Amino acid sequence: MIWLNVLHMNPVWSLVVLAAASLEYLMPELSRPGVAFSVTVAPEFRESSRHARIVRWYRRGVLLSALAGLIVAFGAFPQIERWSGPASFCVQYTVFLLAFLLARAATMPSRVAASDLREADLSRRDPPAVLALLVVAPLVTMAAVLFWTYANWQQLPDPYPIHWGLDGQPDMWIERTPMHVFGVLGLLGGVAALLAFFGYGFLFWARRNTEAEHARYSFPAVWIALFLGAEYFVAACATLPMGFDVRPAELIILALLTASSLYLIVIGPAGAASRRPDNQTPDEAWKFGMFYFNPGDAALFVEKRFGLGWTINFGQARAWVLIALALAPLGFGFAFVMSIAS
Amino acid sequence: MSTSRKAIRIDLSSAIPVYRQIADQIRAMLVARDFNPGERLPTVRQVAVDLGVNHNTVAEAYRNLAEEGWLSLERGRGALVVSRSTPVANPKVRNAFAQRLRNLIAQVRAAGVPPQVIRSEFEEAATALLGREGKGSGR
Repeated sequence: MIWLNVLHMNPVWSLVVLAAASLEYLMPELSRPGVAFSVTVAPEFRESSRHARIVRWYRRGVLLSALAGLIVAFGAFPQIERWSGPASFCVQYTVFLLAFLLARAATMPSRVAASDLREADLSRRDPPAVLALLVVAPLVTMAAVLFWTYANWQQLPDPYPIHWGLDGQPDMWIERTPMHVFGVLGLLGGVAALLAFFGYGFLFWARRNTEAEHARYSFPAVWIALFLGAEYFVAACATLPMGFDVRPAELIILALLTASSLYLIVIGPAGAASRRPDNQTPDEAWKFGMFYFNPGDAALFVEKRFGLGWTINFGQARAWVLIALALAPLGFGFAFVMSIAS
Repeated sequence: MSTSRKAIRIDLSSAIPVYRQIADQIRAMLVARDFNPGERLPTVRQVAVDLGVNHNTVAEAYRNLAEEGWLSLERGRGALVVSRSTPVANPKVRNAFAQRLRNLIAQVRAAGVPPQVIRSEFEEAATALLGREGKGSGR
């Protein structure tokens, strides 16, 4: 019986499933006024009873997705017990995707032509170069940790700690072999590189709001801060085996991450209505309403039509190269984790 | 939605090529002294990203303005507004201007825009771009 299987539940993945579903539940309110389920609509449509009905059905789908994800996370399928965590998230996301696509299909008949007007504010300047240094700093830290580990190999503890409890004491170890130690560091480096790639891209390769919008809508700045905070958190984790007590710094970063996440949820719906109706992208470029493919658009990152933050412009060849470069260390890390698990 | 004085707006469905729309609007700002000599315009990349168009389109607009003597282009650093001495217009240029103006007025009048609106728009544009420059001087 599922409800008696609480002892087998995966608490971390259950929280991930609930957090994802909560965000997806809010998403219809986060879109710009002239967009509904990634479809360009007249702003009045968002106030109509038809839209309210579609949102109601979509949200029932999201609740169903959370339920399905939790059932898997609670160990309802013993055959995949080892993978019940990631599987619960996959199930939740798949059901959410179905709900989104159905809502999008229901919105399509109300679609209007997207505006061909584009606007750029020439008084806005590139973000200061010091922000690029902020993005790169954790990667430099990671490189220093790798060098230190190589230079002080004999001083490293054996077994090598890879996880710490809230009391600051290690509670999980691996054998001290080059493959294991550098594998862990490679995995953390890959995650940090991926976060740095997105953080830098949001800052320098994304379409900016006009000065007027920028002044009253702080969402992009907080979103970027969230990615940078996560990058610093990962880099701080990598220094733990060196004997530093980084818990105070980690706690501060975690508090900031939590505060900025909550702030995003609060300001997202409030700010969305005050922006211009669309995000200056053509409907045709949005594949399944989620993937942006527009070779004629110089932006590497564009604001999502449905959801939080930005997405990649898959129409650019350099996007694929950058994704491959950022994902390669992650692939290596995954292979490494698999090898340890086996 | 409020529009900044230094914002450019393009229409992708217009018959006028996008690079010309960009160049025309930046030129209008330069004539109105919204940008002074020594100021920098954003980089080609940034304007292209913000407008959602190809880099080459914005580069072409900047090149045109540089050829007209408004900008000095520096790779990777954007475009520098330079002080430009006003050339003496020859009769050919003045005649072409007069002809284009007449054609434009005829076009919008034919489209139903009332004469008083045409007059006020014309005066507003002249005031915005020329200020008090040349007021009272004859041909």
